[in-house]
Amino acid sequence: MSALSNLVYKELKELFRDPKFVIGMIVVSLVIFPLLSKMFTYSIESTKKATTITIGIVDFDKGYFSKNLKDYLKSVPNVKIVESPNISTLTNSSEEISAIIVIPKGFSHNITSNSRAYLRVFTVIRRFSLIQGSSSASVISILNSYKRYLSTLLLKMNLPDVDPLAVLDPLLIQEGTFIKGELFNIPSSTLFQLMTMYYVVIPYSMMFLLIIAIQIAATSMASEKERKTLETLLTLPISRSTIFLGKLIGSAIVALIGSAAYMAGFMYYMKSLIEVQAQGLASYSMLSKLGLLPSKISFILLGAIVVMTLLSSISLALCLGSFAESVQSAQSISGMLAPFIFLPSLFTLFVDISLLPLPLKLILYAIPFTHISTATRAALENAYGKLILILLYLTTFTAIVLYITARLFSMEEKILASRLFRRRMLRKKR
Amino acid sequence: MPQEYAVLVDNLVKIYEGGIEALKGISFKVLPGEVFGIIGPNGAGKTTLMRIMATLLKPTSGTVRILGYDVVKEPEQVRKVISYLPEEAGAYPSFTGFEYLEFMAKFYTDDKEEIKVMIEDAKRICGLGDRLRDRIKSYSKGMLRRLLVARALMIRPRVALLDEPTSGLDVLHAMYIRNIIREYAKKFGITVLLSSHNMLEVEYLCDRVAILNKGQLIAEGRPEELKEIYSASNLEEVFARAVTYERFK
Repeated sequence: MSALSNLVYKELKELFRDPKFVIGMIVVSLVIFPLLSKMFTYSIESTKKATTITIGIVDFDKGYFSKNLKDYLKSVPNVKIVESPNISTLTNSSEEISAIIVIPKGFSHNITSNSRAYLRVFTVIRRFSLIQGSSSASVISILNSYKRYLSTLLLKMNLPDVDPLAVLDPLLIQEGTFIKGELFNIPSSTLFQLMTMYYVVIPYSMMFLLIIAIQIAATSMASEKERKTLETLLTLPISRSTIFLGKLIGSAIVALIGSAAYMAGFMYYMKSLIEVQAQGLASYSMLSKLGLLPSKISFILLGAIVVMTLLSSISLALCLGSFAESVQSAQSISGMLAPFIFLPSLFTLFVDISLLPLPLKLILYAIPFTHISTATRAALENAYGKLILILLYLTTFTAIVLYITARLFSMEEKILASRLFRRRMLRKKR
Repeated sequence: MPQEYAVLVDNLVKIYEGGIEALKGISFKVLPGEVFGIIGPNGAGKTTLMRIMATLLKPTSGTVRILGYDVVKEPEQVRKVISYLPEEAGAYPSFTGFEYLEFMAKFYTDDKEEIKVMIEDAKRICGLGDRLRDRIKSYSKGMLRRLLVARALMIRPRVALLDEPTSGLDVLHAMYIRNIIREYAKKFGITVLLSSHNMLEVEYLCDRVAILNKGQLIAEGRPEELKEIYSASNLEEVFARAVTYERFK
């Protein structure tokens, strides 16, 4: 036991002293995400703040409704009006004019004679930035609300007995959703949006965890070879399986820590996005109230499935990594595993596997990583039978891989020199 | 039961995949407490022999017994009594010298006092002093080698297998390490098997030597004996003559 803890401690110490690992995994996750979310909220807030929009107006009409429009614009908070008899003075003005509205002659006449009137709106761009774009968009939205105001006004003038809303918006749609026979007064689209978010976030974070774990495990054997420490390690009074177990546990711990850091950063980012979009975390409690979140048992089963997937992929990576002669080749081996992790998960996100032809279905089900998404889905549906089946399959798969890897570790020659490497050596000798 | 021989190598053959014969049936015995040298040019099979004794490689045929334990059938027992220094060895660059020694010592004992004694020993053997507090990545090639020799000897193994122990060391440090090996072997009754292509080093250090050439043992005996048999003034000449005679056999 003490030899094992000594080995695990060594693995952890080495990884946490590797600046590449620390910067790449922990600092990036914990700094980049909060930074991204800060930038995001800042840009949103600054658009809100950057607020005083200056609108230039060239009024060729000088009638009742052109005055009405100008009065309306003046009443909008944070809007400043600059009037001028021609466009060129406005475009060359020292004021930061975002848009110019040209009110043509006959504007008021058209409105009063029940014809359509028109306006010309020019956006003034001094430099390209997102804020600039949003301020010109807000000019349009101000004009759209004036349109609505104008319609109400005209209806009141022409049909004093009619409620303008009954004409402008005669149909009020109240959405509701039946879930498992129970009625909820929520539009289904909101629900699906939320569901999709959880569908994506859970498998995505697990995929990330697996990728790190595989990388660490695959390179840990190769780096022992590259630094020429493996031979010494293999002649110490410890069993091969202890060395293997030490690497397995070390990689798993580091993968968990790394992904915890990643998840913390990621969740912070997501949370601030949601908050900015004013949906709030209430949506989460709403989902759980609706019974659309995994039950405790599902969560436990899902957790067990995550651990099994992690163990199977680490032992797979250790097994494959043992053949690599250098860290670089181990990295390319782990790179080869990446598509097997990403593709089935992405596939299952868009396609219902049960509808696929049998051979393809079997292939996908045989890949352990497919079950990241199938298990997430099963957990959301609280389909215990499915979850248990997945867990059984993954346990069997992991046991087989562990057995093969442990066997491989007892065959020293396989670890000491890969076949390819030895062939190269022999060729040189010849 | 006291063992008659510390190391027994009997008709050892190693053929690598692809048909390269690294060892062609060699036999020798090493007595307990003896410093035994295996000499030969590059590619003679020294490292293959060392690796088989260290349980890293399996022989194609023949037997090797270390303190009575068979390296193929009882590798775990063998690993408990040996300490192996590979020819090209490294250490964990992010560790300090002390951390590395402590990591290695913990595989041999749980007793904190014993670990302390081992590290003190290692400190004396390597002569690195306060540099042991520095990360290994800052060590020169020679410093690393001294640390690794110290690692191999600090546990006071019953059999030390040292593959080119002084490789990469300058003359003074090589001499220092040679003296330490001799001193430890005598003081703690360690049986030492070392390989080298430096014949003068072996002549100075070893009680007995075996000359390996192209996977065959062409001569074995005490340095003085061999010099007498081949009427040579040093082991280099012994080696050259032994190889020449072998060619005409």
